[in-house]
Amino acid sequence: MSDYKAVVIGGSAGSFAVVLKMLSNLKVTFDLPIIICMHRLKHIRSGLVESLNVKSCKEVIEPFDKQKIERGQIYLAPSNYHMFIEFDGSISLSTEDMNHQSRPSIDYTLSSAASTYRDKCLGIILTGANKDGAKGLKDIADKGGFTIVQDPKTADVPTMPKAALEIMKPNLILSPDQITDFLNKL
Amino acid sequence: MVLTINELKSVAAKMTEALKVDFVNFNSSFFRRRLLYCFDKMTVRKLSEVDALLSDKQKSDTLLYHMLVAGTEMFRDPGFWRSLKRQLASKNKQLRIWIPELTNCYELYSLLIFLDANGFTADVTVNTSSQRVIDEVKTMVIPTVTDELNKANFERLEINKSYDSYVESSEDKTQIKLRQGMLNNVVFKNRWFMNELPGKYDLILMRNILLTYNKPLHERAVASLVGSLDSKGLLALGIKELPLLKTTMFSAIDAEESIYGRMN
Repeated sequence: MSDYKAVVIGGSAGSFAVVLKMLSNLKVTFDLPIIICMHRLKHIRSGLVESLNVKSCKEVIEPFDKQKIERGQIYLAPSNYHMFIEFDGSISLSTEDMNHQSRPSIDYTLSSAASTYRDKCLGIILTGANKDGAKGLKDIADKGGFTIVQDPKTADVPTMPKAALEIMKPNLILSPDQITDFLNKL
Repeated sequence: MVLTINELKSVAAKMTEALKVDFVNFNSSFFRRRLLYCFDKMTVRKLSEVDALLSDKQKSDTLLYHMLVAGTEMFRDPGFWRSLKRQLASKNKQLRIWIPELTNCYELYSLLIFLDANGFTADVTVNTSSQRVIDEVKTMVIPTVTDELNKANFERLEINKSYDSYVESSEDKTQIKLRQGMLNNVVFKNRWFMNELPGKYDLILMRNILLTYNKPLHERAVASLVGSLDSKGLLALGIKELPLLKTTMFSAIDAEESIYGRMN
C-alpha cells in the first residue's frame, strides 16, 4: 500500500451510485481509511449508510464525534453535521452554519484533511450539483496532496468537478471506473 | 488573519480569564475556526484589539454570542423527540428540566412546544454564556429562515396538534412569534453552566454542545451534568455525541437517540 494516510472523497447526493460502485469494486485488502462527504437530505438519518453497506467491500460507518480514524475503515459524514479531520487522527463533528447550502460541507472535510495529512492526502471530487468541494480539493493540492477529479463528461451533474477544474489543476481527471482501478493499484 | 498556535493559546487563556468560560479546553481546531469567524463578525483586524474587546462588557458578550454555535432548526432529529416522549411518559409529575447552554431560541422553543403538545408540565431552567441569547429568546421571535423545516420536523413528531397553534404573527405581521405565555415557567441564567452548583433535574438537554469541547472538558462536563440529574433523571446529548466518561452512574436508555439515564 502507498504512503498515503487517507482517501477523502466528496460528491453531492447524485454521486451515490458512483460511490457505491467504487466501494463495491475496491479490493478487500485496501486498507487506507476512506472518508466520504456526500451531500444528503438533512432530515433523513438512516438509509444511506445501510445502502452503501449492501455492496461495499468493507463496512461503512457514520462516525461519532471524537472517533479515532482507523486503517481500512470507511467513514461517511452523518446527516446534518459537518465532518472535520483533526490533527490527532480523530474525526470531529459540528453543527456550524451551512456552507454552499450544505451540511455536511465537502469543503470543510477536504480542507481539514489537507491540513492534517498534507502530502499524504488523496482527494477525489465526484459528480455534484454545486461548487462545494472545489476549494477543499484545491487545499489538498496546495498542501502537496494528490488530487483526482471525475471527468465531467462522465458526471451526471458536472458542476462540482467543473468548479474544481476552474480553480486548480488536479493530478488526474478520470472516469469512475478509472478512479477505482487507480485506488486498487495503490 | 493567520493565528499561530501560541497566539491561539494566549487568546484562549485571556478569554477564559475574562469570560469565565473554559475556552482553553475547547476543541483547538474549532476554537481557531470560530475565533476567526467571531473576528470577522466583529471586524477585529488585529490581535492587539482583543484586550480592549474583553474589557468592554457589551463587546465581550457579543464575542460569547458568536462563539456559541447556533441551533440549526426547531425539533432537530424528530426521532429524539419521539423517544423523549416515551421516556417521560412514566414521570407523572411537574418536571424539572435544564438546558445548560442555550445558543439560540430553537432548542428552548422546541422543548416548550413539545411539553405542551404532549401534556407535560415543567419548570425549565436555561443557562447561557451570552446575555444576548437571553434577550433574543425573550422576544419570542422565530427566525423565518427555517420555518418550513421547523414545520416539517414538527409533523414528524407524530403529535396530534398543529405547529401553527403554537405560533402567532407579530402585530405588524412581519414576524412569526412563539405564542404568548409559553415562557412563563422558564428561568434564565446568564452564566456558563460549569460554574453552576449541582441541581436536581429530571431532564438535561445538552445536544450538540459537547462537540465544541476537547476530550478532558467533555468528560468534566458530562460528570457535572450527571451530577445534576435526579435519581433516574435523563441526559440528552446530540445523536452523534457519546458520553466519553467511563462511569457506572448512568447508562444508555436509547443509544440511537443519545438519551442516557442516571442509575442511582
